[in-house]
Amino acid sequence: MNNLLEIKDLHASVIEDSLENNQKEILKGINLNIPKGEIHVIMGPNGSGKSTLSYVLSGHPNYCVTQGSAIFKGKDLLSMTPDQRAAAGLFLAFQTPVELPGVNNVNFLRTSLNSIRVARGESELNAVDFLKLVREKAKTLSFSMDMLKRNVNVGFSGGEKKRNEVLQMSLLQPSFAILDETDSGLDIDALRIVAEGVNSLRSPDFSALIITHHQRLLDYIKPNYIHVLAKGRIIYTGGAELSNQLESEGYGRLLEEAL
Amino acid sequence: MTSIEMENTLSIGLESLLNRNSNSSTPKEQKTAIDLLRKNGLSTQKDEDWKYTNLRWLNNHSFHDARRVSVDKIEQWIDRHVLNNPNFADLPRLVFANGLFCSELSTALKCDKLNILPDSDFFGVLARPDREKMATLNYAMQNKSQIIHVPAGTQAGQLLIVNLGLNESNEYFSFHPRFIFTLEENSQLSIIELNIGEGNYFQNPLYEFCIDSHVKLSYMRVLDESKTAFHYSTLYAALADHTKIDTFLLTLGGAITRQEIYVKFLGEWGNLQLQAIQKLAQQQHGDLTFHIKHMVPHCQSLQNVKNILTDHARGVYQGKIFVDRIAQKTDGQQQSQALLLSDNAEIDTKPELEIYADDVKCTHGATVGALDKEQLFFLMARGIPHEQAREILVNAFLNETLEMIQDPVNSNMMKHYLSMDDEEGAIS
Amino acid sequence: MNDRNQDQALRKQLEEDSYKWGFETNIEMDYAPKGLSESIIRLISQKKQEPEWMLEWRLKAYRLWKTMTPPMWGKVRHPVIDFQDLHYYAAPKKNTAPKSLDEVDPELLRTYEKLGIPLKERAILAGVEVDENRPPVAIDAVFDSVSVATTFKKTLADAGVIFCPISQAIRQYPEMIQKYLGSVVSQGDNFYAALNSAVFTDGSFVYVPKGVKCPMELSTYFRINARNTGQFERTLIIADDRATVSYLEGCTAPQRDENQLHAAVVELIALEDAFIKYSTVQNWYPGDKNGKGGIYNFVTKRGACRGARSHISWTQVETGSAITWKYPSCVLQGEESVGEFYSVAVTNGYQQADTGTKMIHIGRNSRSTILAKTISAGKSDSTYRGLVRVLPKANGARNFTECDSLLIGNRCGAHTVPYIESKNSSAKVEHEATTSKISDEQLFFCQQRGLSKEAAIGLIVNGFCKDVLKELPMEFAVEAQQLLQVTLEGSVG
Repeated sequence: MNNLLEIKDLHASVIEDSLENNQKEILKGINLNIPKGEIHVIMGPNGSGKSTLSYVLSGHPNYCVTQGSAIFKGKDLLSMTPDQRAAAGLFLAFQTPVELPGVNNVNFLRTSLNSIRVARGESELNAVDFLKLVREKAKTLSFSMDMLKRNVNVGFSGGEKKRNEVLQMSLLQPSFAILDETDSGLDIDALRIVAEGVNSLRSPDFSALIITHHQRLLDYIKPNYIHVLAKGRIIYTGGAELSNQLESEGYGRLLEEAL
Repeated sequence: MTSIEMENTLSIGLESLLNRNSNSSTPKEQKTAIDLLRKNGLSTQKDEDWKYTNLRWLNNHSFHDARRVSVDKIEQWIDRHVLNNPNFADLPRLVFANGLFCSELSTALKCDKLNILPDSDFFGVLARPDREKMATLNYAMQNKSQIIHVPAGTQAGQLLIVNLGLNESNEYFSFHPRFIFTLEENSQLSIIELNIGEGNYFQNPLYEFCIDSHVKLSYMRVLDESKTAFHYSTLYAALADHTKIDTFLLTLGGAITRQEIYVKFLGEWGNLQLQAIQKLAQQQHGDLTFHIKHMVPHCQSLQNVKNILTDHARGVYQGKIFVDRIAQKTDGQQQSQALLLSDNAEIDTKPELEIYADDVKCTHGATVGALDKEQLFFLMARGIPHEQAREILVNAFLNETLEMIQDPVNSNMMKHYLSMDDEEGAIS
Repeated sequence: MNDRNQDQALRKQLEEDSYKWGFETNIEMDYAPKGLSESIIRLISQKKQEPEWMLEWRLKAYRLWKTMTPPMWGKVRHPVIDFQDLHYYAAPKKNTAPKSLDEVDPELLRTYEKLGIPLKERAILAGVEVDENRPPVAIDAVFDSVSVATTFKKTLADAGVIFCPISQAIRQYPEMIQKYLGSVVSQGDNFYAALNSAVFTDGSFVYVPKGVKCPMELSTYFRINARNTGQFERTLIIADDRATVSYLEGCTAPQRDENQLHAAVVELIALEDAFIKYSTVQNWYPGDKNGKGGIYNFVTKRGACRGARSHISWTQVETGSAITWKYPSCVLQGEESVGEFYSVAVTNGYQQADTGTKMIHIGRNSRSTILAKTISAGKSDSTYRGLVRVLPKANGARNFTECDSLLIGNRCGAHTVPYIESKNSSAKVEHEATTSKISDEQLFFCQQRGLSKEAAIGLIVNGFCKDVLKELPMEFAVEAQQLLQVTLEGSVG
C-alpha cells in the first residue's frame, strides 16, 4: 500500500458556538488518496470547504466528522488528538496564524519540536543543538533573529506570520503538510521563500496538500494532481496543467458540468 | 442558624479575639478600637465592600495568642523554605514568626541605611480604624508597631521581610502585626515580603507607608500562607509629590485571603503601579480590594489584576479610582482579567470609577473567560500535548504581567513562586 | 415634516422656560386621603372594581413592604420620604369610565395636545395616509393614577393584540394577569416594587399572540399632575411565541416645589423566538436650578427572556427627574436568548442619576450587550451601575459592556460601578469604560466654524450618544436629541 493518506466518503459539519444543535454540513463526501511523495493541490470557489478539510484533517475542535474515514499511514487519523496527529507527521500551515501574546517564539519552537521528538521516541534537543538548528533554518528563510525573540506572531506582518509557519514546517520535518492558502497576501519574494520551504522538503517520503486560489504558487511548486472542490465534494481532478485552465476560465464550466 | 443569622452574630468569633485583651494598661487607641468593635461589630456582607468576602469562619474557631517559636525552629524553617533561593540569601532581612519580632535572625538590624524600631508604642497616622474594620481589629489586638525608617537621600537597596506563621497545634492562633514604613525625601527602598507558614492561624497585618517627595519604592508581596490560614490585611499609603511606587502582589496560598489597599496621592506627579496575580485552586478564596484616591493633579495610577482560578476557587477584585475635583490631568487605569479553568471556579469583579474632575483620563477594562480555543488548537497542532499547551497559555497570560517587573531579582522571584523557572535565555 | 410637527418644533425653540412641560392642568380631581394603610389599599382596589384575588395580592405586597427599608446602596441622596404624607390615588373626576375618546374630558385632551401627544385617532389616521415616515403609534395615556384613553383599539384588536389599561386587563383577562403579574418582579423584590405592587393604580397591559408582529408601535405617556401624589403605574407586556412588539414610554410632570414620587414597575415576558423592544424617554421635572422640587423616579423594570431565542431590548434616554434610580434588566433564561441595554443618562443642575442594568445569564449561549453613555454637567452626579452575572449552567454565554462618561465642568461627578460575576468557565465577559471631557480643541473648532458654545456642546454630546440614540424608534430619536440639548442648557459658563 503506497498511500500516505486515504480519505473515504468524508462528511463533516461545523459546530458553531451558538448553534450546537444546528450543525451545518460542509464536507459532503470527500474521496481522496494521496500517495507518498506526491503533492496535491486543492482549488475551488470560496465557501467550498477547502479550509474545513484542512481543519478536519488536523483535528480542530469546532468541526465534527459525521461520516467516512481518513487513514493516515495505516492508522485512523480521525481518532487522534491534534498533537498526536502532529507527532504522526501531519503539519498544518494555518491560513491565519494564531498570535500567542506572552509566548516567546523560540521557546515555542523548541517546545513544539521536542514534544514531537518525544512522542516519536527520540531524545529532546538541548538548547545548544536546538539553537544551531533553528539558526540554520531561519537563515534559509531570511527569518531575522529578532523575530525569533519576539512573542509568537505578535506584531508580525502578514508575510512574517506566513514565513513563521514555513519555519515551523521546516523545523518539524513533517511527512505530510497541509498549506492552507499560505500563499495569499504574499509578495513575490515571500512567495518564493514559501515555495522553497516546501521544495526543500520534497522527497519520496514527503507529501503535501496545498490549498490555494492562485496558480502563481504553482509556478514554483509542481504538483502531481489538482483537485477542484465545490460544495463539499471533489468535482474534478486533473494534472498540473489544470491550474492554467482554471486561471483563464474560472470554475464556471466545471461547476456546470458537475451538476 | 441560617448563614445570615450567622453573619449577624459574628460576635461569637469576635469575642474570642477581644477577650484576650483584659489588660488594664491598654493604650487609648487600642481601647477606642475595642469599643468600636464591641459597638459596631465586624463587616458583614451587607457592607458594600464585603459583598463577596465574609468573616463567617471566625465563628467556627476560638482564637488563641500565637506562641513564640524558638529561634532554632525559625532558622530551620527559613533555611529550608526561604534561603534555599539564592536570590534571598544575601539580602538584609527582618524576620517575624507568628507576628513576633525575631531579632536574632533579623540581619537588617545591622544595616546602617535603615532605622529599625521594633515593638514601638507608636500606632501610626494613616490607618483608618474608624472606617476599615480589619484595621480596627488590628488596633484592638496590637499595641506595638514595627517601624522601618529610611532617612532622606538614602538608597537603602533591598530588604527582605519574612512573615512566618507556624502552628503545630490544632487550635487557631491569631496575630495582628503592624508595620510602619516612613521613607524620607529622595530615598529608595525595595521590599520583598514573604508571608509563609504551616498550620492553623489567622493573620491580620496592618501596613502604613508614609512616602515623601521623590521617593522610589518597590514593594513585592508574596502570599503563600498555609493551606488552612486566613490572611486579612490592610495597607495604607500616602504619597507626596514625584513619588514612584511599584507594587506587586502574588497570592498563592491561604484558605481565605483578603488584601485591602488604600492609596492617596497628596502630591503632584506621583506614579503608582499596582500589579497583582492570584493563582488559586481547590476551595481557596482570594480577595483584592484597592482604593486609589487622586487628590491632586497630574498623578498616574495603574491597577492590573490577573486571576487564574481552578477547581472551586473564587477570586474577587474590587478596584476603585477616586478623582477629586481638583485632580485634573489624572491618568487612572484599571485592568482586570480572569481565566476560569474549571467549571466550578468563580470570579467576581467590580472595577469602579468615581470621578469629579473633567480633564482626566480614566479607563477600566475587565475580561473573564477560558483559554482561547484557537491558541490551544494551534499549540496542539504543533505537537504539544493538551496539558502542556494549557500551561504554556496560562504562563503566557502571567508573563504579560511579569514582564512589567523591571528588576530581574524580583522578576525571578515571582517566577520562582509561580513555578515558572523557565528556559528563557535559550537565545541570546 | 407635517404642519403640526413644524409647529411643535417652532414652539420648542420659542419656549423660554427650560422645562416646557411644567404647566399644570386645572381639572377636578378625586383623591384618596393621604397615607397608606390596608384600608387605603382596599379603597384603591374597590375604586378599580377589582376581584378579590387582586386585593389579596396587593395586601400581601403591602405586608411585605412594611417589613422592608428603602435601598441605601445607590449613589443618591435625598431626605427621608414620608410615605404617609402622599396621596396614593388621584383621578380626574369626570373620567369615571370613558367608553370612547369623545367622553374624555376635553381639558385632559388639551393637556395631552400641549404635550404633543396626539390622542385623537382621526387626526393621526389622516396623517398616516399622507406621511409614510410617521408610522402610526397606538397610545395609552396615564394621567396621575388612571389611564385616560387608549387609541387604535380596533386596529390592534384585528391583529389579535391586546393593549389596554392594566385595570381593565385585571377584570377582562384574569387568567393572564394571575399567571404573569409579579412573575418577573415579585411583590417583595425591593422596597419600591413592593410599594408599587400594593398601590399601583393603572398602567398598560400588552399581549401579543403567537406569531403576531404588532402592526404599530405601542406607546404610553405618563403625566403626573396632581400635588402630593405618588404615581405608581404598572406595565405588563407579554410577547407570545414568535411575537414582536415595540413599546415606547414617555413621561412629564408639572413644575412644583416639592418632590414627587414615581415608583413604577414594568414587567416584560418574551416567550420562544419573541422580541420586545422597550424604549423610554424620561423627562420628568428635574427640579429648579437650585435643586428644589423635581420627581423622584424610583423604578423597577425587568424583562424575562423565558423562551429559547427570545430577545429583549431596552433603550432609555434619561434626562429628567431630580433623582433617577432604575435598572432595566434582563433575566436570560432561554437558550440563545438575547438581552440588550442602551442608555443615555444626562444630568445637570442638582440632578442625581443612579442607573444601569442587570444581565442575568441562565440559559446556554445567552448573549447580552450593554452600552451606557453618561453625561454630567452642573452640580449633578451620574452613576452607571450594572451587574453581569453568569450562572453555572450558562455555557457559552457572552456579554459585552461599554460604559462611557462625559463630564462638563468640574462641579459634577460621573461614576461607573460594574459588577461582574461569572461562574461558568466557557462564558466570556468583556467590560470597557472610559471617561472623557469635551476638549477645548473640539469646542474651538466648532465655534470657529460659527456654532455657539451651547450648540457645539449639543453637537458633540449628540455624537457621543449616537450609538444609543440610533436604537430609538425614529419619532423618539428626534425628541431625545432636543431633550439632550435642553437639559444641557446653561451647563457652560
